[in-house]
Amino acid sequence: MKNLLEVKHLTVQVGQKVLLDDVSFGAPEGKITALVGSSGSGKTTVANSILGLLPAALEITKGEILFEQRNLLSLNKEQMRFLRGGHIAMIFQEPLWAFDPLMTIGQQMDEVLAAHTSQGKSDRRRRVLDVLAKVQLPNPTDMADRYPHQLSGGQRQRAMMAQALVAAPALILADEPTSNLDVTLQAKIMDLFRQFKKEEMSMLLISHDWGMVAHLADEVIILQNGQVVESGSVDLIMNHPRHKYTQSLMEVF
Amino acid sequence: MPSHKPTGNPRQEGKPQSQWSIAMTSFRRHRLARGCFYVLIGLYACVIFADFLAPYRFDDEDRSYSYCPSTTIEFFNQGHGIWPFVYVRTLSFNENHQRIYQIDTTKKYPLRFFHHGHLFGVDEPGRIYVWGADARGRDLFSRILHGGRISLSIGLIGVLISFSLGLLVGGIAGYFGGFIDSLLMRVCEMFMLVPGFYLMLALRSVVPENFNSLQIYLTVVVILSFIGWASLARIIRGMSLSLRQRDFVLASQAMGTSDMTIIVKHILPHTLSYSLVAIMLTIPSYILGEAGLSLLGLGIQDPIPSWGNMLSDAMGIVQIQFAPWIMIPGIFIFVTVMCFNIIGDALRDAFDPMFKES
Repeated sequence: MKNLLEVKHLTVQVGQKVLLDDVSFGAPEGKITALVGSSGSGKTTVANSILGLLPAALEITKGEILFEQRNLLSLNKEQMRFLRGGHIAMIFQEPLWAFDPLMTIGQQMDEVLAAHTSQGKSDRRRRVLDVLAKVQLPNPTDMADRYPHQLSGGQRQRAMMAQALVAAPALILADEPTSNLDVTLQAKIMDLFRQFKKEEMSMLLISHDWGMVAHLADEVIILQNGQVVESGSVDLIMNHPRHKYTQSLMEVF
Repeated sequence: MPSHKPTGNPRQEGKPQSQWSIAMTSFRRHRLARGCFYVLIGLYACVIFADFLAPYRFDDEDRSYSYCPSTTIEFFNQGHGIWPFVYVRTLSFNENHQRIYQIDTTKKYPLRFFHHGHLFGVDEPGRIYVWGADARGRDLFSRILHGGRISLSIGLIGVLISFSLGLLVGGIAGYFGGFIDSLLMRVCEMFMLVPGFYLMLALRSVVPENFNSLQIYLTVVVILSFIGWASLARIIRGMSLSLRQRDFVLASQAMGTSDMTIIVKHILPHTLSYSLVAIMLTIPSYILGEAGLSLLGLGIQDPIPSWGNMLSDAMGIVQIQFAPWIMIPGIFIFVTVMCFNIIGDALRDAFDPMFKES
């Protein structure tokens, strides 16, 4: 199995404080890889490092991030910008904040497409509607012309996923995509993710929700205080958690 | 206080109100501001159609009518109502060399509508002075209408330039931060250091003397814009600085949107409610700035009228005493500035959520 994304010895520091300590893992193509850990374990820092969007105070002091055999850390700003959204897209935790309240869903998706493709306006519009239908939003034409606050929480999360998918990226980063939804909605969004899994979409799922991880992930990486404590296939980890931290995480669940 | 009325929530189900529509509803309720808005619309309309509404061109002079008082329109001839007409006046001087205008009743000049492409007028050699004449016997009313084109447009164009500059510089400085921010803000401070009017004079002095009227107009606009943009840029920079931390900006970055697109589409629109108020409150300072420059003879040059340079005629006490109507342009400046200020205040209240429904 080829690794689409490979993080090697990634070390991130803020001043003397080490946030990520020698983190290495791979995300195989066509699989869902879960990055699991409690708050403050450095999951989001990993995602931000991959996207090249670390806050200015944080510094990558060691390691490399290989995506399709290219080291992301050696790319310049413009190459990185092109990669984001086009090749690696992100699904955010809270879609209400991740959408600009002054623009319609359709406009914001169109903006992503415009940044990454050379399609004409009508082609882009068609693509936006296609993707909105793909994430099972009812009445895509209507949805595209709505503002974020005019959608329900579940619809917004679907719209967020549509925005991530719109430029057909090779890898999707999903940062706790269901943590702000109620249980019934979580189940529905999970169905959608399961469909992505069937379509062999490569995804890095960042979560502390074991239920979601158990249902969706192929590979699991456990992160504690910026260190990888355990990794392996989901069956292995679920059935034989070796590390104490993993066991404690599963107990909470 | 408990109420027995059914509490109809206007925002049920139907269309959710945007911040904009809430603000506009609240603005419309402000009667004074609405009145001012109509006054401004009226002024701009008059100015746009000045060629038609004014009986004379701005440079149509007749020196024998220097400081001629306003013409009265007569409706009666020996007790009989007839078509309105005017008498001309003849100029003579008294023993103190003061102008004396005597009404010459020997010849009547009927008022004609749609006269040579103007709304109204009288046949030559009769002249109609709605609000009196200036030193060169030019109709003040006509000149006010034509002068309004300059005075009223200078505010709009000036604001357009300085706000484009201010928004862009502020947006860029706040979004990128760091070195770019410090650099741009130091440049802004250089402009803010010098008191506005002296900067205006200094900038005016570097412009050649032999400019034609259009070039002078543009120069004045550019000078005024140069003064206004810096303080706006500083405020927009502050807003941009806080907006760039918002999740939707980070999300746009994560989606690979370019920095300029983010600034223009996701940051600046969020400063709109502030900018709109600031625009309304800044326009008057441009109108006054032009008036100030023109008053000193550094702005628009005679014979092209502007409210400012027309007022410069009123600098002498003698003229004011004998022809008080030459101060009328000042009333126009005053009314316009008041209207913009009141509208700006009303907009600020309308956009301020803390100032609702007292």
